Amino acid sequence: MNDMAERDVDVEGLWTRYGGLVLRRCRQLLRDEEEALDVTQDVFVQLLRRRSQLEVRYPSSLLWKMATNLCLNRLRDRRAAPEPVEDATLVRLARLEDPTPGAEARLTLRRLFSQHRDSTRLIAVLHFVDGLTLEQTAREVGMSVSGVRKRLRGLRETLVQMEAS
Amino acid sequence: MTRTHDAAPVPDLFLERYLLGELPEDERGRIERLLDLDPDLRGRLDALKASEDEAARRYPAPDMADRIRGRLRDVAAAERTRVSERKAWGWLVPAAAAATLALAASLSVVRSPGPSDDIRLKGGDAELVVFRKTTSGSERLEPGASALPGDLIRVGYRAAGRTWGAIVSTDGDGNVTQHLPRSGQRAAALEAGGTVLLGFSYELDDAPRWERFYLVTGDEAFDLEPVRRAARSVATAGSEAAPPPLKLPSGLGQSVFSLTKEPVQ
Repeated sequence: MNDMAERDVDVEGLWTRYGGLVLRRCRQLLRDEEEALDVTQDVFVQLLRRRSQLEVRYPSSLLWKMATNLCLNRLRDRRAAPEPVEDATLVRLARLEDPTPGAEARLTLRRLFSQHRDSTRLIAVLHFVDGLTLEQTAREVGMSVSGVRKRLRGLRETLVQMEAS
Repeated sequence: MTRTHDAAPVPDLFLERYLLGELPEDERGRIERLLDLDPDLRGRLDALKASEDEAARRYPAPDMADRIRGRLRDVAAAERTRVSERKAWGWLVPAAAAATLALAASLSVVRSPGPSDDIRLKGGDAELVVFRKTTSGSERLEPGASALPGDLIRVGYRAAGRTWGAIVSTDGDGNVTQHLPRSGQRAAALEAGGTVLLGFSYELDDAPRWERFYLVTGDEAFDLEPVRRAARSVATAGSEAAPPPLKLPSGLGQSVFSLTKEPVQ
C-alpha cells in the first residue's frame, strides 16, 4: 500500500502545491515551527496512506481539515506551557468576558471535547476560530446547516453545565 | 477576517483555495470582486503569496518529499511489526532483578564495531538490554542470541548519564521501527537510575536474518530523522555477527544489539 503510494504519487508535486497551505495551518494552530513542520509531514503521510482521498475535487479543503484535526490532537496531548490558541478558542467558544487562563483552560477544553465527537471539534474550530459562517462550515464538513447548529448548541450546553458544576 | 459591504467573511481557508484555484466559480468571482474593493483582503492575499515563497525556500520540495517518503516507510514498517501493548508484565523478571542482571552483565553487551573516521561511538556506558518472554517468565538475551518469529521481546536501556535518546530497530527486510519515542521527531528524555524498560513488548515478525536494535544517545535533544535515515541506509548491510554502526551527526553516541533470526521450521 505504502510502496504503491510512493511509486504512483508525485510526493514532490504534492508538497509544492499544498505544502505551504498545510504548513501555514499548522503554524497558526500550534504556534511552534518545529511542531508545525512535524505535523505537516504527518498530514501528507496520512494523505498518502489514503490515496483515494487524492481524488477529491478540492484537496486543499481536505488537507486543511486533516491538518486541523492533527493539530488539535497535538494540542490535546501537550502537557507543557499554556496554549494561547486554546485559550482563544475557549473564549470564542464560550463567549466569556473573563477567559480562563492557562492550564485550567486546557482542562476545560479537554473535558468539553471529550464529551463530543471529533467532527464537532472541527466544526467548532472552523466556525469560531476560522470565522466560517454556519453555511460555509456546513459545506466544508458535508452537513446541513441545522446539523451544524445542533452540534454547536450541544457544545455550548455542555460548557454551560461545566461552568455551573 | 474581512467583511466588505455586508458580504460574508473571507476565511483564510477560502483565500488559500482561491490562490490554488480550488474554489467553486461563484465563490471565486465573489472574492475577485472583493479584492478590487478591499485593500485589507488584497493585503492578506499578498501575505499568503509571500508565505508560499518563504515555505518553498525554507523547505524545498525534494527534501520534504524525501522526509515524507521516509516517514511513510517507517509507519508501514511499524504496522508490519505487531507491537502488543501490555499493561501486565507478569512474564518479565521484576525490575530490581532486571536491574541487577543488567548491571552484572553490562560488560557483555556488544558495542558497535570499531569507529571509522566519521563515526563516533560516544555512548559512554549507555546500553541496551533485551528480554524475551519464556513459558516460565523471561530471560535476558545476550547480543547475537537466536530468536524466532513470534518471540515477544521487550527492550530497555541504561542511560548511564546520557540525557536524551532514541531506540530504533532494523530487520533483514530493511524495515526501520521506532521504539523510543514511539512517535514524534525528537529524541526522548532518558530516565536515569538503572535499567529502564520500555512500556511495550515487540513481537518479532518473519523478516529474515536479524533484528538489530540501536540506542542513540546525546546530551541534548536531537532530531530523529537523521537517525532513521542512518538506520535505513545500513539495515540490510553487515552480517549477523557484525552489525554496522549508524552514521550519525556529530555528538551522538550509539550502542547496537543484534538478534539472529532463525527461520521457522
